[in-house]
Amino acid sequence: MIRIVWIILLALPLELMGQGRITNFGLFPEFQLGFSAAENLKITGKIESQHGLVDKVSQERADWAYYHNQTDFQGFVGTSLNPFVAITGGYQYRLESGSDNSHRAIQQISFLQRKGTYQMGHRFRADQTFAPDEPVEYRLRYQISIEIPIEGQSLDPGEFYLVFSDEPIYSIQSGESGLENRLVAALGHLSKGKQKFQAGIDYRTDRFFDADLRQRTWFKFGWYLSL
Amino acid sequence: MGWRIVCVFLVWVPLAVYGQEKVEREYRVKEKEVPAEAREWLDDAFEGRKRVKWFREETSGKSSFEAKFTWEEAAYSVEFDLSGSVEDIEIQKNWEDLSGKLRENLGAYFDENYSKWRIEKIQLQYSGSPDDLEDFMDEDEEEGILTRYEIEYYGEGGDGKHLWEGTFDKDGHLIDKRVIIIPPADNLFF
Repeated sequence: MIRIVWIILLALPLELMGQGRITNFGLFPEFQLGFSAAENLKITGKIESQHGLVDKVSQERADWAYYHNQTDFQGFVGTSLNPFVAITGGYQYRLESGSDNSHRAIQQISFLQRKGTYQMGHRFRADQTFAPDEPVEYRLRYQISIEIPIEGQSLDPGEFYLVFSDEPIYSIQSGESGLENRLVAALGHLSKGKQKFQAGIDYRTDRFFDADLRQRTWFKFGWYLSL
Repeated sequence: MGWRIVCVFLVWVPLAVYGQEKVEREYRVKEKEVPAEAREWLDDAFEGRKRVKWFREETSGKSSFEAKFTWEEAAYSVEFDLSGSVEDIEIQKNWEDLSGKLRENLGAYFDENYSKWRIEKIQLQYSGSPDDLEDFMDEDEEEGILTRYEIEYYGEGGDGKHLWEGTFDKDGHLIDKRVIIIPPADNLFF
């Protein structure tokens, strides 16, 4: 399994770098807070924000300039069917530079698999985005992730881990389909008090069906807190 | 003003959270960091074993060294105190490896207490004084040896749906159990 993740991780960006027509790089901080509101009712809040630093189109020179791309405010309510399976519904409000702000409804089911020394997550998500004067956009997403401790055989407080994930996203908006892929590789730290810190690369490719394939690379760093 | 509030929050929340939880951790150590007595005991008791991975374990204020290795096609884990004296030997087992009588008793316990259950991991544990454990390894001498099973299992029953760690005696009767708290994995799902 780990071998497959490595192959995807190493080969995919290389192949795509060669064909990339629109490229950008920026910073992507995120903060997440989860807590139990009642027995078996979990509330999760999240803020994530994308800040572009450089854009490059085809053979043109790189354009270095700071810009705010978007900031998302998300809220989720979830319930666990057992310690490994959870069903969650959520809402997102997006502030987007250069476009109207949007609303999004989110539904997901997640599965946690504990293997000998690592754990895997599977997330199936559907979402619907509503923006003024635009038809509704529907998306279906599947994310697979793997979290591997790098000190010892299990992840304990005070230890570092690696996390890799890949998520293909299919979208449809007034009959037009789109495909996006999101690959993440990060180094994380599980601290005391059920909090994790992660920093890594979030590599997104989309517009596969268009002439101008787009690749966006973000330096993503996050703080994930469970109370 | 808004940023000042955010900065104060960013600094204080981790500090406040930091003080709360008891540390339980296990991490890899180099062989030379392990007391010579522990290494020698292992060499005597498991002649011809393959490469050993050494870990240091800190649980509820108690520290120990743990050797993990494969021997005669089974996964072993041997625990030593900080002076290098052996404390217990654990061997990973499959359900099929257990005797018919033991499986019957364990199965009866699970069926009685859970509507649905699944075994995740079984460890056979031998504990005793260092001398008794050495005699046990060398001559199969069971005097002074306490035999138990540590079983990690998922169970759905009257007390909810949980992942459990149960300690059972050598005949498969429950001694005690605790719920295993799975570390937060929200970073994988949101």
